[in-house]
Amino acid sequence: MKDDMKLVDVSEESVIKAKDKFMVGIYLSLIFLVVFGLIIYFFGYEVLKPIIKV
Amino acid sequence: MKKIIDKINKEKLFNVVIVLIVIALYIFVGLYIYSNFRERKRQEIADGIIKKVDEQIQKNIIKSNPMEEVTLSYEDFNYTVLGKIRIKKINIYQPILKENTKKAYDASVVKISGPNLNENGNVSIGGHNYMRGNFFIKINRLVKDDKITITDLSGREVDYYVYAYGITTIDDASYLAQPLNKDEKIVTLVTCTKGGKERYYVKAKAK
Repeated sequence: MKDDMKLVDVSEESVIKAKDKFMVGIYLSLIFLVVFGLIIYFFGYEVLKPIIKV
Repeated sequence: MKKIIDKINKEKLFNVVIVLIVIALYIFVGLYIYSNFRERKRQEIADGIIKKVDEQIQKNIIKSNPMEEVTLSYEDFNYTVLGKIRIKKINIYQPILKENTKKAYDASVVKISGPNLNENGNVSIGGHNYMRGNFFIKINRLVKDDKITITDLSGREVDYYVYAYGITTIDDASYLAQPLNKDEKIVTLVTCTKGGKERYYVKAKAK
């Protein structure tokens, strides 16, 4: 019984921790999107030009 | 316990939705940047071709029998050019191509029908209506007496002034008809509207 409790840890605290981690991941991916997007937009044209089909 | 499991399931659904939204944002940003770069490249090619057209015009001016068309290549571009069109009001400055093909429409504006550029009669020029772009998306902003300048390869520059515009069905090609007065010089700009279901045209006349 004690082992089962270890396997499925559904305590409110652990759920909140997992949620926090997930949200941090989402925020990081959004920040990455904005930063990477801006870099590509302003400096990526010359690099990507040969593969862009008109 | 059941409450917590329900909560976890709700959280999972919420997480999936959030992840899908983030993926959609990545796709949207990627497509936006790609489309922007494509437009930039398109305009760069058009500017390069315009430069070559100008060089050709300079050569033709000193010839007694100037060429009416010239095949030009620039990067991916390899088409027969007849002249150029400038509409200052809507910031259009493009070479006019002879090839009436899908690929040519992707590269610039195209002569659909009519006599040689700047000759008497009705010359029709078609252009795509990209959501973002420098082709004919803005021709619906042209109103009476707006100026359209066509330059042919002999260097002859004729100003045309808008006198009519409207929307018609794809089956109606009356805007391509030649004028009754044979001395009139008319240019008709045509583009698609409503996702290709209708045509928007602008007619302009040399004064």
